[in-house]
Amino acid sequence: MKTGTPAWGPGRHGAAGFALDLGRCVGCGACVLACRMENRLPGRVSWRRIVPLNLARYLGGPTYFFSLACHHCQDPPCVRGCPSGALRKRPDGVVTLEADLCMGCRYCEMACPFKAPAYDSDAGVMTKCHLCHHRLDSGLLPACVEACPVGALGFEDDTAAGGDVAAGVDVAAGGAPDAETRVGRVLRAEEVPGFVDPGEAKPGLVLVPPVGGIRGAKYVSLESLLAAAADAASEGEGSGHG
Amino acid sequence: MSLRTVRTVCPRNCYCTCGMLVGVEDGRIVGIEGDPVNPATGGKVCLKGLSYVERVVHPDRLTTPLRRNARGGFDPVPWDDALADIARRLETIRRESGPSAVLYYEGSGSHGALSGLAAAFWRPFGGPTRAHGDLCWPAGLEATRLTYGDNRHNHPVLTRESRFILLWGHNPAETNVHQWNLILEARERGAKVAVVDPRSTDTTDAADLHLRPRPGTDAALALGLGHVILAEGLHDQRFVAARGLGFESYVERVAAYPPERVAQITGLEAEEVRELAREYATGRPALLVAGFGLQRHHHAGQAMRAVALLPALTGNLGVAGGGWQYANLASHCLRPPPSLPPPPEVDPRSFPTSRLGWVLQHLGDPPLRAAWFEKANPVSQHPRTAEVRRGFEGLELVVVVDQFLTDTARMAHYVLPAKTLFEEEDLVTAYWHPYVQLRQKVLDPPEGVRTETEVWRELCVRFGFGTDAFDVDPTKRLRAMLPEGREGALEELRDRPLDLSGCGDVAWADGRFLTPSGKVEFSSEEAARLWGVEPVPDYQPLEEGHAGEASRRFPLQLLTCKTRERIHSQFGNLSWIREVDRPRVLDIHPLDAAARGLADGDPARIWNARGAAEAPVRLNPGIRPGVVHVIEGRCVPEDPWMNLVTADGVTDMGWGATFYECLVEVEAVSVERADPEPEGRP
Repeated sequence: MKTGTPAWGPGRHGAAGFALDLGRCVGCGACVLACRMENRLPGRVSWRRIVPLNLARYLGGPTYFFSLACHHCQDPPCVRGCPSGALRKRPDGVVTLEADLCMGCRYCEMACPFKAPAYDSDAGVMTKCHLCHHRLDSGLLPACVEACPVGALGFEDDTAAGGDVAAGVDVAAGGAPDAETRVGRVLRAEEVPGFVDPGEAKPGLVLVPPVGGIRGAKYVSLESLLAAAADAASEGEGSGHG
Repeated sequence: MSLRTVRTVCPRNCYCTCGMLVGVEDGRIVGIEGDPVNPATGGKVCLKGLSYVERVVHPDRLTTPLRRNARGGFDPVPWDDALADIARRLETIRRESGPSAVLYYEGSGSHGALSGLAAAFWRPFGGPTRAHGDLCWPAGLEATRLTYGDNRHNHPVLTRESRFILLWGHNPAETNVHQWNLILEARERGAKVAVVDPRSTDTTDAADLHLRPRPGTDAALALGLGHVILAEGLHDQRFVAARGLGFESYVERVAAYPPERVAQITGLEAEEVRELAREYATGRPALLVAGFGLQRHHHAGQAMRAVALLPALTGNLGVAGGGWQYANLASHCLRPPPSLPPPPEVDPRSFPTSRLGWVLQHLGDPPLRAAWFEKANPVSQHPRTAEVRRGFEGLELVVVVDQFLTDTARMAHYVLPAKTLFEEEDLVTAYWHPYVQLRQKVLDPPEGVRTETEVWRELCVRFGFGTDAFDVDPTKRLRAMLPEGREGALEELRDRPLDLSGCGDVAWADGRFLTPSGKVEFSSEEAARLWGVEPVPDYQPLEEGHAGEASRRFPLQLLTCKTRERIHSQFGNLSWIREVDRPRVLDIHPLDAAARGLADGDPARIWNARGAAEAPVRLNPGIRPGVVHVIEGRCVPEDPWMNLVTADGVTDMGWGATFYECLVEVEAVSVERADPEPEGRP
């Protein structure tokens, strides 16, 4: 099948994680299905999910989609919280779980701010995203990244997968978090308003803002929206009873 | 354990028609990914393509014929018994009432050129009643044909070259993901994107301009854009003089549509109309992509003609990065299967598809007694479902061929289990990219499933009809269906898709249009002659529109649009899809909701004189006030049954359906408040 060679694969800098281009992600879920397919996950377990923000276009603002899996944190609370040593962070940055050592206590799930580890109730053990390291080892991209039809998903240090939006940014030199790209500053997950507070975990997720930036500035208050809409209605725009 | 990879193609009724690579291990599909050799779909498939892994082996998939029993349920029956009884009853009806007392109805659920083999049975049968036109796009096809002479457009990848992209009634971020990818690329290279859509969608979220006209007023907006472009001298004088027919009468027509009048009709601001006109006319090359949404009403064809003239007015034809995109039929060059028997001497009778409910009940001379449905789920997907259901109840024999027990299959006397796309080799055409693709066989059908090809052959044998069309080597047959002189391309198709059209990547590059005049027809005598419409398109208010008589009682315009996880009533039954499914809710503007005492999450009844459906309310300030929306496509019984309220009219040309000419009222259903859709902090 098709191969892709990550420009900045994990293992290179001891940091690993996904990048998500918020201007490109349309929340389609192909990544969720590709993960399920690749890792042959049973229906009761999901390693990736789509979290829509503002699906109802509250205040007339846009919808953003967050395709999220394990962030392979720099200081993973799940590893710290695991009493059996089943979870560990590999030298290349990938956070893995060894099922043989897992006793299914679910402490990691409680410790993770993002609830990324998923409990397999039939097997009685935790499961989690391992960045498809079996694919990485053979020079392939993680299944979710490979499947993304709009190039929204990439590696933390491979935002080029998102349509060369961050081409030239060298994460190894510490450039990514504050680097200026053509579409604006690359954001760390914890910088995004409304995002779960990651504590000290330092999640390895990089979020690429859309062209023109997050459109929060366009939001207006609910009161002013309703006032404007009421004005429009009094000019014959509305369609209520009457 | 051995893994093999097979190149094939997704045959759904969808723009993308993706090339796919399928991984098979021990007779089971374990992986699907995009085929990189298809330049338009670029090595990716969407979530629906991935979900076939579940669909093919889904526990609900039918693998035996079913016969309805006296209790209204189904019993499995052997194929021989089912086909013997079906054949006997069809023969009786044919003898007593003639062949046209049987309806043969084929939908768009799966594409493949072998569908043509059905004729090998139905022709000698004598010609059953058929449907013509279709539910989706024919008004726009005919409007484009009348304007340019043919439905073709630039190769999709040329979208990258556009500087301005106008998406009209189109939502590629949700329904044409590969086109969206190309639009994002153009946008990152500096292109501006404008969208005309009464709703906010994932597409409008990324737009620089978003105009939300009242549904059904697109013709007025298009003529208003023409007005501004002409008034400000932004049109391409050389192009219209050399390549346009009837331009003077078009100039007269648009003179009646100054922006202020257009604003009154469409509910837009006059300044929005001016701004869009200027941006579109000056953002060269400018691409105009029209979706199917704006041609689902009675005056659809004329509206589409008015919109389709804008690329000609601005000289954006025959240009990479420019053009008019509606449907690209370049790949529709296949021949019917060889050795078919001759058609019956008298043309079989047919009716416009959207009238199915009426036809099933009221057609006379002879009335319909039996119906055969395949690749179709009319009980869910046809307008005015209650009429369709009533029609079904009056039939003596309904045969439905499907993979699952759909709403339609549940009303059948016999359900025959259908193969999946992986289980028979076939040729597949597209309507966005120009490629013919070979749908290579990946697996044998599961035990108990027969291909339609086998079913038709078996029926021919039972009726004593010839079987020549079936007794051809399958590879030779497909070869003979390729265009004359290109039969040898079949082997190449095993490795890659092929553009067999000879049209080139830039449509109309030679400036020779296939209309009667050889020019772009601003004024079309053919339109007037064939369809009885004005030669120059004009705006006509919808009878069931925002200002129509019925709007006093039913003041809201209902749209039932598409999204990414389903093709109509397909895919929504899969757990893989349901995990990422969009909620089936009624999008309503907070003002319209407030006027009806509806709060977010309230269960609501959406109703009119035709019927009623229910869905939970979602307050959505992104939708135009006066317009409400529910995603169409009923896959499981919990999905809202929106076609109980939609209308079964016929478009002004092409015999399309009028789903979006639908006024409703919305009211609270007095039960406990349901939870709104799952949404939270990431």
